[in-house]
Amino acid sequence: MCSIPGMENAGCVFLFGYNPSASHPIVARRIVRAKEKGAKIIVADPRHIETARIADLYLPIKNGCNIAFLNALANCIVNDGYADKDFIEAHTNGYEQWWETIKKYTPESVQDITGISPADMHRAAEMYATAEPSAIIGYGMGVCQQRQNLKTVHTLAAVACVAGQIGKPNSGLAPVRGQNNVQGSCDMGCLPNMFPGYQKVTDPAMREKFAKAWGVPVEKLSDHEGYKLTDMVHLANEGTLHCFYNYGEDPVQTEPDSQGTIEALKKLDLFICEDIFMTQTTMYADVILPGTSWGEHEGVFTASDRTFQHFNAAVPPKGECRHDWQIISDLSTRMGYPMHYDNTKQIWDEMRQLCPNFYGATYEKMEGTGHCEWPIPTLEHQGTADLFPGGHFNKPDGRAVLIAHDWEHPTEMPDEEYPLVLCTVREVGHYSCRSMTGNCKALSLLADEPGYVHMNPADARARGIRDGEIVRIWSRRGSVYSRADVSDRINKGAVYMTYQWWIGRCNSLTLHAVDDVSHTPEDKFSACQMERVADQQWAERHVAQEYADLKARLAKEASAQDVEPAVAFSASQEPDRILV
Amino acid sequence: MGNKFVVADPARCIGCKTCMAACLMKHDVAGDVADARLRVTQTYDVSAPVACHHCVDAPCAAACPTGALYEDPTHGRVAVREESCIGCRSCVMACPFGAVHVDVRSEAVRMGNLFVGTRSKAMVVKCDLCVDREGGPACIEACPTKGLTLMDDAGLERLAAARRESAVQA
Repeated sequence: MCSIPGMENAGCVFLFGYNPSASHPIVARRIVRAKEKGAKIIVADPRHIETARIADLYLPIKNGCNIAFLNALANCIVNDGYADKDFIEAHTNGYEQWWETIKKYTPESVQDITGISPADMHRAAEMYATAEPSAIIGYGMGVCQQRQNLKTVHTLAAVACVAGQIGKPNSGLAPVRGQNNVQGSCDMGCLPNMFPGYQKVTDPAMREKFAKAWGVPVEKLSDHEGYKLTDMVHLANEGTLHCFYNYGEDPVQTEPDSQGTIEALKKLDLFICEDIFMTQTTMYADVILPGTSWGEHEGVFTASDRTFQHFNAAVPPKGECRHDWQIISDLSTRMGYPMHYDNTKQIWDEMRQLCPNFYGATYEKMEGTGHCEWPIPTLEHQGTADLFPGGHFNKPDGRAVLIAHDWEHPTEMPDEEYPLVLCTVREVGHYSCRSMTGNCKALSLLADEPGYVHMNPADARARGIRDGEIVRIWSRRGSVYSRADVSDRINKGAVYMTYQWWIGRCNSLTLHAVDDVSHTPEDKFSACQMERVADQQWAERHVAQEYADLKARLAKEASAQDVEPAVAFSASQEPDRILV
Repeated sequence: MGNKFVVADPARCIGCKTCMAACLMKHDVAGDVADARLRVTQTYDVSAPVACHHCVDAPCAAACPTGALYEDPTHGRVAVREESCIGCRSCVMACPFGAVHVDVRSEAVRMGNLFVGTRSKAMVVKCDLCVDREGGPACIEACPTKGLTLMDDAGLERLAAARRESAVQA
């Protein structure tokens, strides 16, 4: 709820399920500065991540313990006398009921689940709750990609409220996004339940407003929530979903259980992809619409802290590639709703008129290195760095609701057959599904296929695995080869893989399990096993061949575009030639 | 004296390897080896890139039988005369920092304009302080936390003075 630059000015930064050095080096830089300015750093993570090195308190939590850990932390905050009674009284509801759950979670009672000694739990409670002038909890996918993700966010918010570490400058929660501009796509209504500006599709007044602005009868706007990306697989399998328009995503690589995803894609009647490269997903498309890359288009990104920033194109688009907004306009026109914009500013200005919280974020204010942090309701407004000033929350009575949940174990627990926890994480270097950076020479010279599986020396030793060797990893979903990266920064009993690798593809192994509300996959926890490949020379040749074959398949799929459209057209007119 | 070297502050290192990418890209030109001269090294407690210290009495240069490694006082560094390298790797064995390695590449053998085959050519790969680069070492410029500095005599003297000051206060 604070701004990212504001992290430097907090008295305590508590990282929970967030490894900024790998996922957001620019945020990691802020945390180094916060430390230099005297902030206390607390890191709770199963791995001894980069920030753990500079932490005042490192808590090596066990995988999958989040709610148990936070409940025990809240228990200590209250029992050790650090609760901010005035804040609870003035700005929250539901304390009594919340405490009914929390009081059961003494640090002793959950030590087996959390792996944290009661002494360290008490220290963390004191360090966080007593920090001056404020404390921030930064959390990332270690919270969001778990079975109890949303419940963990409720718990984190309650911890911040009870400790009085919210509603003042540089405080509260700092949730970070997993990808560039995820915040922006949510702001713009790329959510199955929202219009732009977080205005609900189920609200008749909102439908009325958007129908009027877009000049359509209100019945044309859907009054119910749509499906989520992770629903695609089962909807396609049961025959409910016939067409999937996939844009700027590589779900075969990035969604759990790759084989399940591929089989679902094959069942679709129509599969359209809009992308800038041939990917393992685009390969299955019936129609491919070539988009433009980040260097070819301009527009507005939103950072995790609600900051709008305008960015410019470096070069014009090449060949048949068109901007996403042009493709959408054309498609819409052909489907019966004429849509035309001359530039992105026209789209932006229309959006500002319809979203009260964004109204003051004009292109003029964002010129050069200018930026706007929403809520920014008027043209004179300077933007909002911290949400909930003075402890005033966005509820009808302005009070936060304290919610507590009981801990539940992750969906697929390790067992004798699959004794290791598989957790998917980030590595520095390549980006996302690697379609954009896989051919970047500098990055591939620093790290390349088949990728890496990070493990503790004890787990490696038990299997006769040495650092740098090729290993086979398998789960109930599949089996892949990867390269062992053995380090004592990794906790025993767990292995870590990154979803960017195509040969050592962790999502061939992950479990497709989602939470009930957001339908986010449980990428941080599934069970697997691994072994050393006995013939290392064969293994090296095998992974190199697999990668070469995959690249050749992608190149073949993409080769249709090697023909000039005019040549292809005239060739198709010749009766004795068939163009496939 | 007078030699300089790139030194890292482990408290600022976030292990992002941007220094390695910058080094690699600086050297990704014809006739050079596209490889990082410094390596981010991570133990449980420490992360920092390790690079050549450009030792005044350099064991790599002393171990080199052909003079491929030599003292370059003009630039304050231990430099490489690549045509002299025979790939014996004595320098790799001698370096106490693990900051030197030898790369082998294949190059064309010609008689006049006639291509007659290829041969292996060894090349010492180590930090050259980017002396031919405007703005100095690429790694220092690229580090997002400003955790790298070019240490020279003046820098060492400042460091020593600060240490003396804390010594008398102790």
